[in-house]
Amino acid sequence: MKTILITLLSTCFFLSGCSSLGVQPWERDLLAREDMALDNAPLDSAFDDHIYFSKEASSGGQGFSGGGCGCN
Amino acid sequence: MQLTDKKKQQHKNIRQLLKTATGCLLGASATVQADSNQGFFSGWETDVAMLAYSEVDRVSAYEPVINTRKTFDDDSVLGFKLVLDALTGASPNGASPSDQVQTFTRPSGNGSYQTQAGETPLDDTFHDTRVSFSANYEHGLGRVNKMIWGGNVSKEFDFFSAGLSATYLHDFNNRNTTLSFGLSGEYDLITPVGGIADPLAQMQASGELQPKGEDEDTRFMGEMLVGVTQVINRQTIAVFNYGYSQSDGYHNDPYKVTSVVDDITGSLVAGESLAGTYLYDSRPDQRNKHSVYSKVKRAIGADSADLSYRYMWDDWGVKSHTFNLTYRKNFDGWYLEPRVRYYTQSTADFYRHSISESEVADIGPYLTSDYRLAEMWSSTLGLKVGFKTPDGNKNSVRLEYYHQDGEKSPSDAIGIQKNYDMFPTLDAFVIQYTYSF
Repeated sequence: MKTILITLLSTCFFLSGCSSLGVQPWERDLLAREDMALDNAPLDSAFDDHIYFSKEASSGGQGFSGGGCGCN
Repeated sequence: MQLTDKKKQQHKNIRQLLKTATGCLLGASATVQADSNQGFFSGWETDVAMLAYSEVDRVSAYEPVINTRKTFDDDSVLGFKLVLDALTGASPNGASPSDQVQTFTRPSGNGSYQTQAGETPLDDTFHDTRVSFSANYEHGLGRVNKMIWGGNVSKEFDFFSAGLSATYLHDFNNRNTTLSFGLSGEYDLITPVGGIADPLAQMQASGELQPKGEDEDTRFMGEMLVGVTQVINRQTIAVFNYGYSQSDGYHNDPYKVTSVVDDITGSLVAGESLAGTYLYDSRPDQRNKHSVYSKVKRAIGADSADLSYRYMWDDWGVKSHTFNLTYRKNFDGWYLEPRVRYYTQSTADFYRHSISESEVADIGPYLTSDYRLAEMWSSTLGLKVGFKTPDGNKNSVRLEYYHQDGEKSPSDAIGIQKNYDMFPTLDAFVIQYTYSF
């Protein structure tokens, strides 16, 4: 509960700071580049998630952590 | 010029063939062949990939994937993915090395395998084939909101899984900030070879009655993921996510055991019907996991860098840190992308590499020797090369080396255990080819 509260407060703090960040629509040229997509190689990410899910105790973070795999 | 045109035509034909094959494989009707330029069956973007994963002296896996998606006129996106996964090789069974030859019973209860003195016990019967199918649909809700729906089913010999997810995204601050909120649920059915082993019961010799009861057990996992994506400036974008998951049900690894060794010598203790004593895995029937994840992506001239960090903790006592850095060097029509990843985790509260004979009476209720719940660290080094074929389709080849290490000489090793590596160090190589059309 304490963790969730801290996370919520941090998020509010972060969001209030966000209003001064950002760019105008005509300044998105670099961000629109294919290699600047947040997950520009989703197949690679899915392969990695599967490998590390089966070899380590952690999963998820970027996306949901369920593996749909009996490997761990 | 004619040659170039011919080449282009050949590429077009190949592309057409692949598109048709993908459509058929993923359930589209044969009308794809008749008319691939109009209607529902036109405009699909497809990736085909093949991954080969090979551990030194252990497991090998081959994983072909087909992924296809289409963006419709209303900007909604429909996607399907089909994954096959064929595994074979040897996997650590959890028992610790000994100064004697060790005999273990195969999971089926019929037949046995041996491990030589000083060697890490590996079950060499590990093989499985997995088929996984997933679908997702993404659509707008007004001008600044979006929903993503997902579903997946997968089946392997001793495991079935089905899951659903829903994620809501809201853009504001001139689309510079995106909030996301997602929920998912997963149902797993576990049907181990030989049945569900009784927790902490002794493995018995081949042909003897094994301490196994039910044929199957289940697990359900619910998960929540909240996130913020923020454009920082013209070059930089950042993400922060928090995830919480709770899983209830069967968490044991039905194929893993823990060795019971002599208090002084660390050698085998005679079991009820085997030369050694090995107790089956026993884990809590609930696991709660938290994760915080952050990523920063930055354009550096024509190149880009991607840095991420994840901290995960759960109520089994595991805490982990994951760092990942990729740098993409863009050239004219191709790119190079080196990558480094580092991972480290602390041990689960109930992990033991082995237990001594005098501890048996008081041990439990939870005990595992699964190295994946031990203190460990791993590193990955990778290099990806991407290029385009003359028709503009994307190709990439990825090579990676993965090394996993742990406490080889733990301070609580007993007697002869001090002479052996008590953590099954792992080296693996990955090669992946992806073609997008």
